[in-house]
Amino acid sequence: MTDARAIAEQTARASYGRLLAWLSSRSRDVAAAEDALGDAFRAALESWPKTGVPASPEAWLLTAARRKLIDGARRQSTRTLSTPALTLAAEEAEATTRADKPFPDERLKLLFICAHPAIDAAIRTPLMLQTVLGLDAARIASAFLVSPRAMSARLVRAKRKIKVAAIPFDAPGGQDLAARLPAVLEAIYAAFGAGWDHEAGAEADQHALTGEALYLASLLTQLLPDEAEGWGLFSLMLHAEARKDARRENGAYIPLSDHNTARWDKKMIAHGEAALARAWRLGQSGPYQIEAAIQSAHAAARMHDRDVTDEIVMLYRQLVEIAPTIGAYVGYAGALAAAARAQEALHLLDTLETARVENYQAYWAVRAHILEQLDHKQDALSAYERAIGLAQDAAARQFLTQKKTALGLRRA
Amino acid sequence: MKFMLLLNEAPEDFALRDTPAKFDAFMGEWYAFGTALREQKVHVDASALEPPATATVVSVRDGVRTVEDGPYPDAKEQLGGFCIIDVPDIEAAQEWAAKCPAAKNGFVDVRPVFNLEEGERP
Repeated sequence: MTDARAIAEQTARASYGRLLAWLSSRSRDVAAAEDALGDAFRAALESWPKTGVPASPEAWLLTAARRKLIDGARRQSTRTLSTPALTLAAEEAEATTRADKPFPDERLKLLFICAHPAIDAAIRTPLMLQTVLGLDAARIASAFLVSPRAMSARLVRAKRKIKVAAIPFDAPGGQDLAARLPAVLEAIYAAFGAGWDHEAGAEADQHALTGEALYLASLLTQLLPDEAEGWGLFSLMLHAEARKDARRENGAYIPLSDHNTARWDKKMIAHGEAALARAWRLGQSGPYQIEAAIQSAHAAARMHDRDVTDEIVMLYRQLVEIAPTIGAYVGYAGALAAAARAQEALHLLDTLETARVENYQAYWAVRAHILEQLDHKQDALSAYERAIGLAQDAAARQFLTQKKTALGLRRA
Repeated sequence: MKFMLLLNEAPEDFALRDTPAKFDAFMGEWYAFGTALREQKVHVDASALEPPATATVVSVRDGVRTVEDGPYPDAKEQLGGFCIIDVPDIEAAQEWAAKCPAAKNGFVDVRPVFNLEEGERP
């Protein structure tokens, strides 16, 4: 994509998101606002890359959507024939575009309504991608590996619930903000992971929404610049994205310790470091910041040849204290093993509840590695077997199979 | 004495609400039922509810509030409305329940309303 094209598309998405936030927070009807703006948005995506971005993108979109907006955006549903509130909101928005100021940004309300506790957790990320960025249901469906039709139906259901159950359009403050921010962060992080967790490689790149997720994270840091965890999440995502090209070579999975760092995006790493520094300055620790710090330490180890094993163990210990997820424990065990504390690592894994780990691929991969270090050959082989069986991704499966074969050939 | 009729509707009945071609016939039965309740002077309160997809489940455990997308439990028939009627006995309440359109494809829970006033409780 050329720069001009990228800028046109980003502006179109940003203006669309701002308008949708404005219209739906006043009419409470996300679906009607989407209907009214949809054609205008598609027209903008088509023409702006050729003609350039108009001076007032919001005014352009409103003009293009005029007829539908003035019609009160008639909906096809029998029970909601028209929404006069939408017409009023559109008039207000038009007046606002004539004022000599940038169009107000209320997208934070959209982010929070999408991740509202009353909305099914599984649909929060798709809803965010659709409303804030204007992604179409088919594109979202492909990243989440469901049919476009099923994805559409679930999105329609969620929007209907927002309207009918009167979920308020507001950006919480104070204590409420602290309680509700994690769900927003989680939904953004899930957008980053969507398309990745499945079959990796070239095909996954088509499905992945990493660029869109980075945009959302960056948007969140602009809208809530004083929330350290937003910066932490952004930093974590930048670090992961920066290593994208080194993670695979010729389709094969390459573990972090063997990455060719020449293939890392150094500019993006610097950007991630800056985001993390910004987070620390705010003085509120949190799990995303610690995870970002772990990735930052890994990057420093490879780029500046520094021994960070103890530092990483310490960070994981903090992480399991404040966010004792199964993933954090498995990461902690891996860090202990890397610090030549394999016996402790195995002990830690043994304390985890069986039901929580029996189908968790990373657990078995790390366990196999630790058992191999401790020379428990038979146990290591069967742990590799479990990890291979649970691996969703062909490259990871192949990597583990190679390790298992190498171990099998070794003399006891 | 007061009874609450909990109207558990089948998915096909919920779907009729959004089927323009069948909507009038479907609502006609409900209007007839509502009119009968009023004419017989047993009506206390009644309302339809928005479909289960709009439900939210709230609970508090150890002082921690949990809010989730509903409904709970996720059964085939779901609460679609309620009536509170004032009738002499359970027999009469059951008669009304049987006349209710929800009973045809779904089912109606008939529950005596708990009465705290002394003397009213059996």
